[in-house]
Amino acid sequence: MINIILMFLLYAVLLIIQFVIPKYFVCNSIYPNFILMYVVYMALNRGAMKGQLTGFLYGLSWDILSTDIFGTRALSLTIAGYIAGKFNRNLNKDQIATQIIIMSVCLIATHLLLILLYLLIPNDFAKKSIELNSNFFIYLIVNLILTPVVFKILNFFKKHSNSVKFYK
Amino acid sequence: MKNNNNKAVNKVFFILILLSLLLILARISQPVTILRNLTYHFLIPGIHFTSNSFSSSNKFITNMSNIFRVYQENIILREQIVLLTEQLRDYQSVLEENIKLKNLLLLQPPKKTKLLFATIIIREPDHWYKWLIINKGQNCGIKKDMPVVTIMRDNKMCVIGKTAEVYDSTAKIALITNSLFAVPVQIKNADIDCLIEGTDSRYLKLFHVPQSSKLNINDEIVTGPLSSVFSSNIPIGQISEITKTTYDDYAEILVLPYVQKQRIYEVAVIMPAEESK
Repeated sequence: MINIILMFLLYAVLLIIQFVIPKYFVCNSIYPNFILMYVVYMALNRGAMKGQLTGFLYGLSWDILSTDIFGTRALSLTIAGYIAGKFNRNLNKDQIATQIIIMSVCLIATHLLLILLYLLIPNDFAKKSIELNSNFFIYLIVNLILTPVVFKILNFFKKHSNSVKFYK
Repeated sequence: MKNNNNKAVNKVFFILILLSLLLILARISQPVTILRNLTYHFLIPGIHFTSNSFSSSNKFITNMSNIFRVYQENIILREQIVLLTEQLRDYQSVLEENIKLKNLLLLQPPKKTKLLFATIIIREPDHWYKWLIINKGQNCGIKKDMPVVTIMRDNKMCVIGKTAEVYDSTAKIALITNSLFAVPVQIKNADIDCLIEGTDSRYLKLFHVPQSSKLNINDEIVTGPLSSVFSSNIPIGQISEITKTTYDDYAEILVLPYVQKQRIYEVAVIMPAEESK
């Protein structure tokens, strides 16, 4: 029961951080993608199953809260969770280089997928999509710089929250 | 076991992908709006809290930067205050000096005067350039050392002398040409202060003229502000002769008073308006 409550709290906190913090730090539509970082972190630490499910859940929540085509985020984050989960046992997930490489792969994959989706489904929303309008290179660098920091924070919570089995 | 796990992962992945694609293709805008509103309803307090926290943090950072800016500004303003205080002190001293000087100038406030016309009753040939007697005296309010003028043809006043002795119904006027007579004067349009003295002749002599000053024939001489008898700027006469030494210094400057250019039968005593009877 406590785990469910903590999971729900984490879910709410992450959504709030994702939708509130960029309001203060977004510059030229470049924003930190905390949800993707969390999905990748979950996939690396808990495997592809947890990763893709987390991706789908958070993607769906993002779709609900955003004005983009419904389902696009769910699809992209599910794929990101799946890809990152595949590296679960093959790579040393505690190395910064590994984290950055996997994160960059996921970022590029989700970006290309979004471009493909917007090309296949022409919509007015396509013009408004942040990813398509932003400078992707800077977006990538910003998120790759933040990735080790976010992973460190999540590791810190994982180590110091022994009661939260969600992380174990 | 591992293969089974992978298969399960792949199956779930395909199901999730299919589900996502179905959601994309379904274009379910209306139910999503309801869901969005519901989610926002639950997340709003948290969003508000986080937003307020960040706003407060931003305000705190802004305030801190403002404090630093204000501190720097304060230093600059303090320096300016010191500078301005010095300037204010200077200004105060100048103001005090100005007040003192004004007070000094106002020691003799301008008096209201009036002219008392009198007729010359005696002018002795032996003392032609020294004295004359008028038909008004103490009874008319005339006192000693009152300035006496005459009206010229162009209706301007010119100095004739001052009252030297006053009797009940007559007064003796010491003429400006009297050798005992001296009055501080100015050379008009030159702002040169000097002294003029009578010579018991038709000319007056100008003394204490600065050697650096440039005088010309026909320069007008008027009473100066240093005179205790006459008010300023009453015409006296014009320079008629300038004699210089071999060293180009002024040896003698003779002035022909206006009073000598016309016949005088009447004079006017300038007297204070409140003292007239």
